[in-house]
Amino acid sequence: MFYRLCLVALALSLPISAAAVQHKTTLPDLPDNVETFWLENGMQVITITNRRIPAVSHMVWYKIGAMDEIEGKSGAAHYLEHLMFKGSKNFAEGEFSTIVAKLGGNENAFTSQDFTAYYQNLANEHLPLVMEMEADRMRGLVITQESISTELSVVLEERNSRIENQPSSILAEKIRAQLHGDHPYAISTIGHRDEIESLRLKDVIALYKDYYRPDNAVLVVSGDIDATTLRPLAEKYYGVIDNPDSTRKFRDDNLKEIKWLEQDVEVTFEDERVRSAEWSRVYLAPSVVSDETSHAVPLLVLSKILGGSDTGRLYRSLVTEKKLASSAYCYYSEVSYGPGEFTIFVEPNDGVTFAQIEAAVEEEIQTILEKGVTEQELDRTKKILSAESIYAQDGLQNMAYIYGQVSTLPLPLSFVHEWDQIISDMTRKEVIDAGRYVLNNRHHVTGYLDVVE
Amino acid sequence: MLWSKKFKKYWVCIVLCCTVLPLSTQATNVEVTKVQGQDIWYVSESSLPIVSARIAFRHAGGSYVADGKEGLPNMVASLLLEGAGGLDQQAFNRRLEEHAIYLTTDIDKDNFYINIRTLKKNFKVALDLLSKALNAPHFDEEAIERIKNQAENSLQRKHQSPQYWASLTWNQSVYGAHPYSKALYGTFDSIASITKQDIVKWYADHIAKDVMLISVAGDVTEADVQSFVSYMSLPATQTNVTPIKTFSDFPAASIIKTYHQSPQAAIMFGMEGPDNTDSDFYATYIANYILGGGGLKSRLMQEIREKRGLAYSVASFLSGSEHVAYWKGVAGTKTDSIDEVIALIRQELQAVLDGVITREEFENAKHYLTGSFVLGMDTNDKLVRYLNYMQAERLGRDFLSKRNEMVRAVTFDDMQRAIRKWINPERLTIVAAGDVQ
Repeated sequence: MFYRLCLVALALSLPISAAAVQHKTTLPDLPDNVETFWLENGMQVITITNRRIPAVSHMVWYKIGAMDEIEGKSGAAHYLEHLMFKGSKNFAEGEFSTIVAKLGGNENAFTSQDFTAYYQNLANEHLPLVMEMEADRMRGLVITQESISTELSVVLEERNSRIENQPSSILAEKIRAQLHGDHPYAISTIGHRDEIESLRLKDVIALYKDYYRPDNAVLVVSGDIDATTLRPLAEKYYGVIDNPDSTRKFRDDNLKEIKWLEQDVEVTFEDERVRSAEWSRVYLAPSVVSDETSHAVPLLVLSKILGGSDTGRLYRSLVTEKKLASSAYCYYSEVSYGPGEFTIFVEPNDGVTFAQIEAAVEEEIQTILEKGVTEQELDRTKKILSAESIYAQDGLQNMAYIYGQVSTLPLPLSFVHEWDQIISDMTRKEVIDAGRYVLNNRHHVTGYLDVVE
Repeated sequence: MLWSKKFKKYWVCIVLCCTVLPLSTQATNVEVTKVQGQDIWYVSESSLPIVSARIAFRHAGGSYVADGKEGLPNMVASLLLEGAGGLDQQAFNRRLEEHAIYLTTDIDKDNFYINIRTLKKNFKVALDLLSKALNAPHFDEEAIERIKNQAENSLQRKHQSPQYWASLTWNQSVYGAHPYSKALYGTFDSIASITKQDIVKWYADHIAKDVMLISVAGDVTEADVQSFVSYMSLPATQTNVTPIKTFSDFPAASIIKTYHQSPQAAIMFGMEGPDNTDSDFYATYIANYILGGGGLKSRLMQEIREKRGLAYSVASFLSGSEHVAYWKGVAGTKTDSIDEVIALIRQELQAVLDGVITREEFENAKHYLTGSFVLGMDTNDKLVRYLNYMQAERLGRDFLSKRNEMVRAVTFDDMQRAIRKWINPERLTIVAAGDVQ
């Protein structure tokens, strides 16, 4: 697989207001199998119909992530996600998971900087019960000191497995801190170790009360379902939940802005466990949300041409021709509320210095910014990205995931569908303009993962 | 071609997301067509204009290699995508990309696999490139050198993982001199010693029509499916392939602690298990789900994670290769807790052996295993993977519709009997790789 499946959509970034579309089910610019409506309490509902198997993916997305945590309390959003499984008003601790398993369902949850989501995949006949349970824990979570006593250790073990156990992850964390400065993205979603350790029940409950409310949530159901079938169920289980009296919290608009680095930064991490060096360079870049300049989608195309696969400029130059590295790629994370990141990653061969790698990478960037991309490169990338839209429709949960992400960001749902046209219309000039905006004379963070001599 | 590296910074799940993949709806109709003596299994499903296929070559996996050349099959798998049929690496990969065709290879201990995914409109191009890769891989010196380098680098990174180290150690301790102890990705010495001659000879000996298994799913007709075979011009039979003998000589119980520098240790435990055609298989499968196959609700998760917070992830599973079947499990915990977690694992195994599983747990397990079966084959890729597995394991074309019946037919007594037969603490090998003295 050359390119990871990603959502990119942009161009017309006018956030849709809920009031304007409350009474429509299908927006004219959504595909035939995608419908949306709002409940009285402000909760958005999206259905994606795919009748290949008699099952559904039932997802609830909350517009709260690590970026919304209070300073000094990093890790609270993710910790809350864990604690959501500890019991609610009508379902005892552990009962949620027991019931899902008994129904033959698979469940999980995930937290990112921008959102938290919970899902169950199961035969569609069992949808009402999981809706009832999910709705119960939206405002009716029950957590006691006892029920959570071990969960903090679990989170710390998770941090171990994701970060401390991997030198490259430790370095990535340091890089992010330098890149984002004061912005909440500077801190890993799982949180700083010492701040996790200091989390108390009240910290978690504060987040829960503020953000877990129907007008801050989106219900997404994909599979053997449609809006006509789902609406009465949504009304019955989610429609009866009231929003609390407190005003809904909205994210600071400022957090969309890019605070460009004022100088280049280097971060080195040497560790005895490192057996082969790694080099990476990260630039700030517009995300699809913050992109007044319309550079995000063209930048995605550039990232593919520069280093999306073995036919990319970086691989051909550093790996095949100059034999400086065993791999060389770049990656752009464009779907986020805050700034995106454009990353170049290289694994140097033994005996090759970081300086040699840098010179070669800089040469490739220089060349592409000066001379642009070829018609063939652009055409090839367009073909892959448009095919991915089709491949993505195969599967129970893929599209629910994509629509869920978009719905929790200030983006209209139509982005998912419109980006095909944006890609198709893209010109070589747009690609290079985007590249110049982000890479030309921009400061960056360079990370060196090194062996201990 | 290698996958581009993904930086998954954002996702943190409550449970390490590892769903078991077997499953299919009753309605999935698995058809078969025969070409040149070759059976091809396929499922026609035209809701999307896409096609996936998976081709296995049996007895061409990581264990089918001479001593000192471990890692060779894996390298060959990578090299198939580095230039073929007159197209060099760049030209070959560009042609794939221009048509949005995904072509990949992978191996396990027994078999060698090639996978393809394409839009229906590019089906002929996909077949052409697939057959070029199989019929005429270049195995260029330049590509060999590059792939060797990547293999070495990749191995360096694997060695940074305590899970990898635990797994290698477990294999070596249990299998001893049996070919299943051979490292799938090789050793630094073995990789360095591989030559073009080794590669060419291994390929010619192992990749042949008589060991080919083809599965296809998506927007295809019978004629489309048949063309998979007509495009191939491989040798008719494998040659010089040494068969692997059945392994069942699991050693006496031991706990092996092996040093690996990580704050979180990786534990792996395992003993012999029933293979999937054994009459006890489903009874044991149900017991395993209760013990450690069932995510947050399993007994191991409850004891080790929920009650004591000692691990983020602990699980057990039934698996194996063609000539061995085992019951294994894994857990990750900080160094100081290694002994406690090992003790809890042994305690739970003993408890299950002593008959602690209730009828309620048993019934719930059956509900889960039958109910969730419909979920795992929601894409063409997953479906062909499972069909290919069914072919390799000789489970029969009607397996998808029979499987739930087999699970439902298990009685509580069947399960208890299977537990008494298959849980053998005296043949359990436990490895802990971490910052141990």
